[in-house]
Amino acid sequence: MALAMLAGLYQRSLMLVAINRVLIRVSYWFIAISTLCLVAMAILGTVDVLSLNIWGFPIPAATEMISSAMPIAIMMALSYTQITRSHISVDLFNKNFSAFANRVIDALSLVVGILVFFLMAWGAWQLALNSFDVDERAVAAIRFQIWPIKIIFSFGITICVLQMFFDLLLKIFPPSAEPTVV
Amino acid sequence: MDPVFAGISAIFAVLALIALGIPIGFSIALVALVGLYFVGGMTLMLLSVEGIPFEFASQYGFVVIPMFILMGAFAEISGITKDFYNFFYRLMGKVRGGLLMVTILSSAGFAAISGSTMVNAVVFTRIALPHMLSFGYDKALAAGCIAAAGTFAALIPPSIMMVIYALLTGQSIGALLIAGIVPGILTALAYLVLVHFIVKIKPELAPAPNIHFTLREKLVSFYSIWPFVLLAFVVIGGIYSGAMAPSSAGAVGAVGAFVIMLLRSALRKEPISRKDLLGSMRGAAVTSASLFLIIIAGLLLSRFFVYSGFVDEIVYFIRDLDIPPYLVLVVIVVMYLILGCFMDTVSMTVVTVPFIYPIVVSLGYDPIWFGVILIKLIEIGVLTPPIGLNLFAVISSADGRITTNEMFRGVIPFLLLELVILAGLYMFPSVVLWLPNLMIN
Repeated sequence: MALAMLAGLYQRSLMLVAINRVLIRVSYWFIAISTLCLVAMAILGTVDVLSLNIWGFPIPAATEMISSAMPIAIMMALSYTQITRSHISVDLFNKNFSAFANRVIDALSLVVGILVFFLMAWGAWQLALNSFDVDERAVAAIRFQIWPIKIIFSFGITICVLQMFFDLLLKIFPPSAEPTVV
Repeated sequence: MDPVFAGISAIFAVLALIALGIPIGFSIALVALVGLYFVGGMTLMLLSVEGIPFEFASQYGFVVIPMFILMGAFAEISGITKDFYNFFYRLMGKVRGGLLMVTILSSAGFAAISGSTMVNAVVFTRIALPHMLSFGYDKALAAGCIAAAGTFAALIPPSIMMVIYALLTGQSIGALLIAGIVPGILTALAYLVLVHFIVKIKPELAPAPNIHFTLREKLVSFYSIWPFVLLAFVVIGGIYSGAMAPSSAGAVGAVGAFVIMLLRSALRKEPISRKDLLGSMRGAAVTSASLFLIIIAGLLLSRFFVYSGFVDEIVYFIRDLDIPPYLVLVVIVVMYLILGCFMDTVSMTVVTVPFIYPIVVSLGYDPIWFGVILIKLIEIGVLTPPIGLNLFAVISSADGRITTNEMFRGVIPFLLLELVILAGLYMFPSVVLWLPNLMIN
């Protein structure tokens, strides 16, 4: 009975590891998109400044396009920030805690993160769906659609929530729990 | 619920969560969302969480942060810090205590293209510390100087902290960036004078090296840094003249730094690896995302403070106390000095600015001036133990050459000087406001 339970746990943790691997791969793609957005924003901003100062006219809708790329650049980087544990935190007191206490705090961080990001994801999807319903467009010289950006933004947060959720599950069911005879 | 009780409970809850080691952005956001729920129910909480993140992320003003981070990242991997150091070394290396002065000047120079105090401290620990130690410089003084000089990046534009303050308070990013120039230069000069006097009183702390560089060697070393000096002038000058919005200036800075990096690498035949380049770009994206989360959380907290009535209550309370404004400011300064010992710079700013800023403005102080005072306090915060981020940045990159005791001992003269400069900026606000006023006029 105990062996069967442990074997089940092991299978589950293997499945978690597999899903987590997929999420990590998605995060790598996302960070690549985020980096590309940053580079595109820098290039577009520079061309806009040069055009305005040399020829006297700005690139049409450049400011709006840069502003719209910004949420993508930020949200696509969040899941990678999570997998590399790059969120800014203060770890001064943790050194004095026991290993168990630190594990509990790690799990608590993930629970807090899931809660916050879940609410943010919910809000972002609401915003994206409303935008899609009214076919929201930029108020600029080129009236490009805003809703795809809002959908990508929501998708970025959702992947981050999923990443945190699977991180938490992996903490609860660590993959090293190999079945042993009891 | 009593607004003051609600506000103070929220601040303590945030501090407790941060002290536990929970990421700063998560901690602030959680407390803000719970607070908003109690103040305005589910509707206010959901409306806030729905509107603020995207609205803020798509603000053109926010673009300046990732652009400045990208600019600093490209400048760093191009090896410019070493060239700054070499240039000032050839210029001042012969003077007693010259290497300390070289560190101060090159750190100020690099601060003009990088907005991160920690990057400054880490980079110069790697470049300057081994050099100073090989010449027999006092370990504590050398480490203290590097950590303290690293803080110039918080004041000299492009300063990320200035931008965060501007975004939280709705002040002009351009005016705040420009306001940091004069105090930044004055601080660097004050450091030079301090080092001069320290080594004059105790010459054994910094032996005079027996070296000489020809004029040609000095000119050649300047040839290595002039493109970045020009870029810093273009970026800062563009903002000052109004030719570019800060975000556009950041974009120009990032592209300019990238082009200079490629040209330097091609001319010197020192190719930059794809791994380094991608790593620095990824780093810029990750840092921007982390900062974004904290600022969003700060804006949510700010909304909670306003809706709960905490900000109004605290402003009325201070007004009713009928004490001179300077005393209130002294209390605020003491509060930041204490917080600086335990909190990191970003969280300190994000948690406190939403309620400190209205108090300061209601007392009649200039918001731009207060921005610079706040950044000065932050500079002091990164140098005060036990959570002096720059102190730990130096210790961790010194590869065991510096002990914690030496670090703390070495930074004391610079900390005291910072307090003197702070008092000077309080007494002469025109030092801060002269350049932004000139720009606006």
